[in-house]
Amino acid sequence: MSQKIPITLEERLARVTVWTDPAPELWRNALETPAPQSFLVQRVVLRALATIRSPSGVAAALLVLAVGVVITVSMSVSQERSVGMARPEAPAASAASSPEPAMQLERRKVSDNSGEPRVVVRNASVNIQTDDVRSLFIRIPHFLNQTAGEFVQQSSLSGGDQKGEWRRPMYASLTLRVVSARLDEVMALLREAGTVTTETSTGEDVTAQSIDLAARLRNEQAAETELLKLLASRPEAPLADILAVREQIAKVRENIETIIARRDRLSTLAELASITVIIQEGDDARTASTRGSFALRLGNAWDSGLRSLGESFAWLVRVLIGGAFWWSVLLVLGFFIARSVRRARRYRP
Amino acid sequence: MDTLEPDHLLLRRFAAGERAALGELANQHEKELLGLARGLLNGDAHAACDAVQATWVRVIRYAHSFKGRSSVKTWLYRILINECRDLRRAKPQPIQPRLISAMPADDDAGASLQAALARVSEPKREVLLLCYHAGLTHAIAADVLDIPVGTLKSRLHAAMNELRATLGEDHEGAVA
Repeated sequence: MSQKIPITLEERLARVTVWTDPAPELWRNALETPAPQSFLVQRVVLRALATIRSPSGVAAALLVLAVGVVITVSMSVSQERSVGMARPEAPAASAASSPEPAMQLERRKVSDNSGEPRVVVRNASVNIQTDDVRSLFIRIPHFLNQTAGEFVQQSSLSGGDQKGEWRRPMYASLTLRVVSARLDEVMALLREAGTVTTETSTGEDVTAQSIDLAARLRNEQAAETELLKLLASRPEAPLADILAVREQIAKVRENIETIIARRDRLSTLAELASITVIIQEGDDARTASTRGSFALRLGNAWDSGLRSLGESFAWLVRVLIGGAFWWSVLLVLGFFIARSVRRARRYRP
Repeated sequence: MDTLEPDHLLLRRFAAGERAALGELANQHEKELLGLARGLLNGDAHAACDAVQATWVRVIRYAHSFKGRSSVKTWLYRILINECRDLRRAKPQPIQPRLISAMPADDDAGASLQAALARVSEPKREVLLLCYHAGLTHAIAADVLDIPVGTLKSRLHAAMNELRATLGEDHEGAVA
């Protein structure tokens, strides 16, 4: 007859973890288990694959992959669009800087390997800050040598029409045509006239265009000569033939006139260079004109603060969105690395 | 009762290339590890064997880097608990009568205790099983779980209350 012995819950809990069977000597199996690679990248990849085995891991991997693909595609499309927009904008920007293309041809005595005179397109622009915009605006035309054909192609003056806090800053722009050989001289005068904030100078070799015009002119003139000879040698030809030849001569003459006009224009422009001058008030002048206006300074400070805040926010958004794919990659990598490190620490007391 | 020195020496001998030292270490701890693993894994003996074998794999891999900041026994239990957690996370073990019967339940009361343990949350089950396993002290159990002793005691108190509520018995209630 068995006697029931009361035992506590603690004793029953202690019995739960008692292993009564013989030890299966699992350490022998462990010794035969091949050692895994200890390279960090492989461990991270293996752990990532192990995570992907679960449904949530698969969903997370697909989500990361989809986000990466979407962001990469959108970034590449955006990049292509920006490149495509930038290409046509370059000439438009240069055209906007001057009311008429500031292209000038400079015929140099220096010849290239083909023996033809080199024709170079040059233009220049300069931004000047000065305390007295009106004075400089009036003084700049005196830099030109009008007897040599130099002239002011365009000029404008605006601003400064109000006083006090409503006063607009004075602004002037001029497009100068100067003899190409004097371009550097005039630029030096402009530099001395005020504080130069920006200055650009470009050149473009259009020798091929000049050579093409000359060749076309020679061909058309030769054709005209032959047609005139033909007309003179056949005075007894039918009227219809004579009219046809005359019509052909008229077309050739028209082409010749067009080519000569373009050549003359190039020749005329080649003697002059173009300089676009922008004149703005300096900081001292603006400060002096608004000195004492607390409301305007407060408004400027407010506008400046808002502008800085907007720029900072835009920069943050650009960094976050533009680098979203890489942020995602870094986050995923960081997660797996942190988890690997955490697990390694757990096993290394 | 194992002392710390022999375990340290055995591990050092194994790290030096003596494979038999691991066998001696396993002889001292493998059955205790298996019992605890089976309790943590809802009575699944096969999963317990997997966990213990994975523990030995970890020991083999990291034996050379063992710094002795804790006892070897604590280290073994810590590895085992982490392996059991990973196993449960990768493959949650449902409560199955077959698995429960694999545990040393002498009667219906024992089976009810095992079923109640399976319904207790994982942290509380770990505390319950560790604190009453093979004479482990609270200090060692706290070290294994990497929590302060005070936290361990409060968790143990709450776990015991939950277990008693689940079993529907008083602190003094017991059956043979």
